[in-house]
Amino acid sequence: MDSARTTVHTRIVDLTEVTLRELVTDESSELQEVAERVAREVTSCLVVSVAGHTS
Amino acid sequence: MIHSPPQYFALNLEMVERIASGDDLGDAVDYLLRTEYSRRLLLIREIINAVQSRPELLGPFREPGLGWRVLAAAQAAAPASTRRLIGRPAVGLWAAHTLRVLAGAAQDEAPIWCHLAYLSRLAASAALLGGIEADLEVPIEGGRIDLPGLGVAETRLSSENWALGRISIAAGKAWLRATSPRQQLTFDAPAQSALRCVASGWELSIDLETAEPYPRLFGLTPSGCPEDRLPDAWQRVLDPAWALLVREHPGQVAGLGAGLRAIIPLDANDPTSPASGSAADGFGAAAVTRSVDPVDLAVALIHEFQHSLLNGLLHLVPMIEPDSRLFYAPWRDDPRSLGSLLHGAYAFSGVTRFWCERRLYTEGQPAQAAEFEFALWRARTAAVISTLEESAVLTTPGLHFVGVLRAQIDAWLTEKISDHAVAAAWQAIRAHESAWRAHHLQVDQAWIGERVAGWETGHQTGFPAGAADLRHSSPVVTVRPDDGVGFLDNLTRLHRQRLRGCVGSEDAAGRSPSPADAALAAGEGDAARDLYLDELGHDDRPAAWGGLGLALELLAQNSNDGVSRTLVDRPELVRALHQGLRRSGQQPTVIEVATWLAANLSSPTLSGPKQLP
Repeated sequence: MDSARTTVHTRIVDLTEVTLRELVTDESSELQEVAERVAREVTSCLVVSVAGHTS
Repeated sequence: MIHSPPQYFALNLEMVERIASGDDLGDAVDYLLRTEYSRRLLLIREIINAVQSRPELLGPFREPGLGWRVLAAAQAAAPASTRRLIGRPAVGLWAAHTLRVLAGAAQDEAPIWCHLAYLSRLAASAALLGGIEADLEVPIEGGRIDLPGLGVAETRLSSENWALGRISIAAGKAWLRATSPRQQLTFDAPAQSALRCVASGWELSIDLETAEPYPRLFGLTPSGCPEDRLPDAWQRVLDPAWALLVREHPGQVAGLGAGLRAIIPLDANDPTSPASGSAADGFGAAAVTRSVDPVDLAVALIHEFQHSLLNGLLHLVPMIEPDSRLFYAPWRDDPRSLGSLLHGAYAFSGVTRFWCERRLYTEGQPAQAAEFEFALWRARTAAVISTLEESAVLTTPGLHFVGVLRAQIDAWLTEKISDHAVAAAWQAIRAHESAWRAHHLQVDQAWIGERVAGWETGHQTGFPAGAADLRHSSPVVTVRPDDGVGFLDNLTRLHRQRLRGCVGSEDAAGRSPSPADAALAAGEGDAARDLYLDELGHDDRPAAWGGLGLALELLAQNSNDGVSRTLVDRPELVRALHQGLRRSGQQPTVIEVATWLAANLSSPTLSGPKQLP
């Protein structure tokens, strides 16, 4: 597989050019689904690396 | 504007491989900062949704909408500073913690409305930084107002635990209106908490994060030492640490400089083992103990930043299919998931690279210490990469990521190291694996019963296939976590202590390695053997079984005899059989049991002689 030419889909919507005002007024169901999924992932796991040279 | 349908970030597999390599990551870090910013906006949107749908959670806080409108206005007026503010690691930690509290997955002493009112604190900071006017209610804790990125302001209000106060903001200044006359607020950051280093043109500009409450909610213990809150104290050690990184790791500094955003001081009560940590939701933050040694700080920053990079990738794509198995991780005393192994393999690839280079830039005792660390971490990391490769659950991005780690470690495994460093590292590696097995592998009771019967009748009994696999469960042994176990990596601690000339080998809990472990690390085989046998005569410290095997191995001058190998490689079997025989009324010695088992291990099922990496 040619890594340089292979692109995979990610789970995060690109909001870098979105204003905060647009973010909360947007009512698209797909964006809402993404936000809910990301929030579910956050609440279901807590990844902490606490090291004394541990991971 | 928001596209319809929404546009997802694209991720090229070449980017995955480049991040795995850890080299020249300036643009890769820029990409991850954009994806992390977008993810953070999604989390904040969910918090706002929760506030709107469950107003009863707001308690006395009545202005969540106002806070958001001020934040939006600040973004319109000063988009760059508002974006930097939202991108702060502490904001990510807040958003994640608040969502966990809302979902009932976390709790803490602060009322929920305080977490929700962080939006107002964020808005107040944005207004101050963006130069806009605002009038907001913000939480006051113990008479203090803490604004993200600006620090703490003491107020004239009582030190009541949780309260709200209204502040007015104009022309970059803030006044507390709850006092009469109104009080101008003076925040103690950012001037006091900004750390900046420049070496050979490479700049590191980060915050010393001492005020934010959220790091302490993730199992990390922020330092209570007053000196650890002083930027000058950190700057003194960060300057040489950054200079070292620029000199010895030029391939890493672009990424570190672009992505490392904050240092959170941790308690340092274990001088032989500096601690560090990071959290998935705080991209760019490294919680570290303030070591007096810049080398310790430099390697901790490398280690924790690797975690941040991988967390950023994992937020985008899964690297591992769902999998519930637990495995041996050489850097932990407890069994770990494959996800944890992936994190460790990546973080310690960075650590391995660090020590590989470090040994070339130093001499004498520091060079010996660096060689030991390099030998230790390359072997441990290589073993875990093998576990990941054999797991059969890596996704396509995961395969590309681990493939790069494999290529790197294979190259490091060809580097020449002194026999002394390899021997010390190998002893530490085997002692820890052995102790881990004795603690966490439960032996099948039917198997023990058959061997007890075989012992009594003198019959030989072979092993079923799989019993010899060091990393996985098998029909004979099952991973059964021994909760609360710790302090298993004593040989590493002792060798490190000797090589660094440290005094005292107690850990943070005041535990010391046993005299037997100390004798083993010192190369005193007779003393170690006698001390381990004495220990096993009146105590059943699981780690002592493998320790005894290593002592016998030392006495046999590493001739790889079956008894010592059985004790080191299969301590759980020797221990379980010994216990089974004693329950059946027999009184065999430890050596007798190990000898009998060694004679009964059929060669196809016992792994071959371990090769030094």
